[in-house]
This record gives sequence, structure tokens and C-alpha cells, in this order.
Amino acid sequence: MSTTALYTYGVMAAGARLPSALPAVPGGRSPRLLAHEALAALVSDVPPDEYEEDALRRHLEDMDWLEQAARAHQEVLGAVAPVVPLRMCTVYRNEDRVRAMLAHQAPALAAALVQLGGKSEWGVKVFSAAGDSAAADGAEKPASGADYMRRRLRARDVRQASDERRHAACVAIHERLAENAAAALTRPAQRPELTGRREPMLLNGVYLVPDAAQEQFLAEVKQLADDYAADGLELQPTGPWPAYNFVEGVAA
Amino acid sequence: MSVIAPAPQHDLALVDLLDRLLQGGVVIQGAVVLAAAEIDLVRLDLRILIASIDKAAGL
Repeated sequence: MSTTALYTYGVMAAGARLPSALPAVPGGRSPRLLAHEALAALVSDVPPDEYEEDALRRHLEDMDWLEQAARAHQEVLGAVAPVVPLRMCTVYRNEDRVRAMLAHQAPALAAALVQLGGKSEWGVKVFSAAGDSAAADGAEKPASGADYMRRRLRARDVRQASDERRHAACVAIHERLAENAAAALTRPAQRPELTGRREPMLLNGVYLVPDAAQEQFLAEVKQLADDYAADGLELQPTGPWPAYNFVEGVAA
Repeated sequence: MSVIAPAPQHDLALVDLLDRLLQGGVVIQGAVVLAAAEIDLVRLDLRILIASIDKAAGL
């Protein structure tokens, strides 16, 4: 029975070098590389009783713990490259289990390392910055029931046209950004409770951008922000991130 | 570049980070004790997070 479990942040090449000072998940030791043949897992030794399934479930419901773990996970992965990020809270019982995972997943992980090398993930969210243009329409009292209905219908048409225009703009924005990226996809828009903004999120795009093209990508974001400001759209870029969203299907 | 918003405040940046971490990354089945993917964390924890933000905002 081993005295530590292994929190596994991601997978790198066996010869990779780590920065000297890396944080660790709560209770964990400094991250180290655990190599098997050409690959190495980036791991922290963690106390098994804190990271076995029931304890982990409890921790994950504790906001302070979750925040510490999430920030450490991100800071470790953000400080190294190239790396294939694993899902947060992937924990192994011992080193043999980690090596077995590396052996079993070697072809897919090695291919992913090559594909992600020299690239970072960027997020671009698009928000509707303008208020509801149809709301301005009913300042005067309707003259009759029929007038009221006409106004209601006109307001609906204006709103629909505005929605369609913004939707088309988001499609165009995503296509332009995708042209400047090695890979691109859209994620579900975050709800207003999560974004902290009243205006709806219209696009939640993620882009895998070659480091060499990063400046050009950000210039494109700025250009699109300028182009679409008049349409009431606001672009919000975040990054660079480890390629969290570009590893789907990597593991068999 | 006035149309680009300033960096989100602390809690909102955390929400964005969690949204990435809890849904991204390779999920490896098998020898794993637990991958966060195996439970419906996203709903569970973002609900807690919303509650904590509401509390912090005095709502």
C-alpha cells in the first residue's frame, strides 16, 4: 500500500524540463515528472486519504478547496509546455498505475503532444452590449387595441431582425477567428448568472492559436471588436490557456 | 480598444476558470481513482459558486 496518491495534471515529453518553483494542489508536494518511455506524467504526491473518491467529492463541494485546487491546476499547466492537460482531479493510487496509463495511452498522448506543441488556447466571448432596441418603441400610449397589436408586432419584428443580425455577426466573427487558428470550436454560452453581466453571451468561441500567430490573432480580435462595436457587440478575449478544449477524444 | 472589457473581477475570473477546468482536459478512464468528469460537477459546483458570489455581492 503506497503512502501517497498521485494527482496528475497533464502529460509531457519524458525529457521536458520543469520551472523550479511550481505551486501544487492542496496538500500536495511540488509537481514532478514521472516518466515511462517517451512520455512523462506531471504529478504531485498527495495524501491518499484526502484524494480518495469520497474525500474528493466532499472537497469539490467546498468552494475554498475547489478554488485552491483549480488555481494550482491552472498555474502548473500554464507554466509548462507542451503539455496535454488532463481533467482536473485525475488521481492515481500509485506510480505503477500512472505508468500503466502512459503505456496504454502512449500513441494518442504522443500525437496530441505533437499537435498541441507551440500552440495555446484562446477564448473569445461575444456579448450583446446594446440594450433591446425594440424596448424604445412604446413611449406613447397606443391609440387603440389594433394600434397596440401593430406596435407589439413591429417590436417583435425589430427584435427578430436585430437577433438575426447579431447571430450572423457572431458566425462571421467565429469564421474570421478560425481562419487565424489551427483549430476552432464553440462552447455553450455561459448563463448571465455565471458571467455576471445582464447582456447575453452570444458566442463562446475557443481557438487553438500557434504562438507565432498570436499577435496576428489578437490584432484580428481588436479589428473585429472595432468593426462590430457599432452593431452593439463586445468581444472579450482570454488567454493564453493550456489547450483544455482541444483534447477531446485523445484518450482511448 | 474601449469595446474590450477590463479583466473580470476575482469571482467571475474563477467561474471562467472552473468552466474550463471542469469541462476541459483529457478524461482517462480505467486506473483512475476519480476523474472529475465522473460526477456532474459542473452543475453541482457552479451552483455553489453562484451562491457564494450572490452572498459576496450581498444579494
